[in-house]
Amino acid sequence: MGGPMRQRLITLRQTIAVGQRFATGPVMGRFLMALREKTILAIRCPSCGRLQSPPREICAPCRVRNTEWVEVGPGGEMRMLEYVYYASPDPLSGETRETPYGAVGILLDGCRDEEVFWHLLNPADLDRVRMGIVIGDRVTRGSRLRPVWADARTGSISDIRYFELDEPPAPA
Amino acid sequence: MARRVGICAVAQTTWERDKWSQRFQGMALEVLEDLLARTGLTFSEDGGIGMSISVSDDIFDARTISDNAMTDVLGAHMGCEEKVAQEGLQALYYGLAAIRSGHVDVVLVLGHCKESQPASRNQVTHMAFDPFYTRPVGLDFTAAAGLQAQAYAARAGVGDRHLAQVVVRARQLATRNLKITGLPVVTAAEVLASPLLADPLRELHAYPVSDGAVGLILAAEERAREITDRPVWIAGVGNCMDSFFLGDRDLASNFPLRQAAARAYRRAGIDHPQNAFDVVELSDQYAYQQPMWMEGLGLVPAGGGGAWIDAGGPEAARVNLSGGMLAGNPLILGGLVRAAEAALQLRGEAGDHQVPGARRALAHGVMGPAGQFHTVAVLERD
Ligand SMILES: [Zn+2]
Repeated sequence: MGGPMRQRLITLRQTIAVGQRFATGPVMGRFLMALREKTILAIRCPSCGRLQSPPREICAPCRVRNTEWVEVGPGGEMRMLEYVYYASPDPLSGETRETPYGAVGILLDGCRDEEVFWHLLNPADLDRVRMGIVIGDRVTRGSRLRPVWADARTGSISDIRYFELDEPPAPA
Repeated sequence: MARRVGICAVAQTTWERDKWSQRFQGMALEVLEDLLARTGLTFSEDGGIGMSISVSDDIFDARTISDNAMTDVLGAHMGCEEKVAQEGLQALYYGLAAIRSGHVDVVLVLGHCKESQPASRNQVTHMAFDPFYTRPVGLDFTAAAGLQAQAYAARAGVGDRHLAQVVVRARQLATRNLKITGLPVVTAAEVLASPLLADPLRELHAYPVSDGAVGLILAAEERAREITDRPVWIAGVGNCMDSFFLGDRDLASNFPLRQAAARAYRRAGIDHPQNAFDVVELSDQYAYQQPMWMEGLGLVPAGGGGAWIDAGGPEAARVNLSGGMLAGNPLILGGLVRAAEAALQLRGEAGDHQVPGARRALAHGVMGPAGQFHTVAVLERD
């Protein structure tokens, strides 16, 4: 039913907000401190050798604590790209981002297989990049990307503004 | 005959005002590693832990379905993981049901919370009220508790002096509980002079802000006897949910707790609860709740809360020897920590506050404004 009924019934608007302050602990905390120094860290599972970035306390499949820290990237190959045409407000900041935006999965140098790092693509590069695809023996290299660091870095994932294309322009 | 279910191991972090050096995944992992070390268990469908049940609060964790961020540290990767967002004692009930169903033999229950993370706990419990009628008029769990305290105190002869006594005792007991850190003892004068939060509740009447995690291993009887030589049996659990709207309830009636207790006692085969328990661990989020919940449990005559405190009842009935919630456990974990403390007593592992030879204990949890939802668990050893 629309029309008159819809006009008669009231809608209520609410915003949910709770101020919060998160402890980061020795694993997430070390990763964030490194970002402040323009360094991307990963953590290696002592059992299977898998790298995680951002690092977490344990390797879930092996059920062991991760122990070895390694520096990865900062450049890498774009493995996944999602064009997103809508922007939900960030529940923590209330901010939205411009659309469309590119959510990218980057295989940072030193990483392999599924060990991709998730971030944003420079909006100016949206139509200039290609995804890397591995299907069995068929390998297509993705675009090379590099991080663009924020000037004022506080120890957050936004210390990297986004990743941008790191290749000479294609010949005309 | 349904299978008996035993608590085989208990672990908890320390409970601190602000665990600034750990995120919540780190706290949970500490508890998991402790439990695995105590039991030698692994995660497997063949004799190992077959199900993980987490307890957490989405708003404290700032993400919805917050257990999804926990599976790694719960060891639940590629396994069965479930979450209880209700008060943590429900997770024990849930684990009991899973094991009695025969689907699994061994269950991990692990709850965590960092109450230090939001600017105020009142902001979080404010969110538990509906956004249209009761949030705009300023209700949260503290204000609701104030209403209940007023209604109850008059009926039970519980005054400011009694409440001070409850707090002083809890803080003293907390010094004997190695898991409680950084909580100063207080004098009755300090409690009586502490600022009012919501008349008659004072600041020192409220459970202190705390961070920490707690976990238990549950197992079917045969398996429990293999894992430990001192299993603690879950003899009966009962719960009861009262109305959400405060205006629908008589806040001083203890109705839902009396129902929850009656269900638990019936299932545990207890006819005379008055003398049935060697240890009682109840969730006293505010000082007035200690005598009030004792009345609701049928362990103190109705309306006799004040006289009970005057007569040294809390000590005689061995209530909250761990310090209780007034020594600082997060709201959502209150009942689960009570079960853990009760189990430690029955296992003879309660350290400086051990009751010699304790055989049967009661653990109580409560959630919702002014005691909306109560859970009572009866625990026993051989
Ligand atoms: Zn691994």
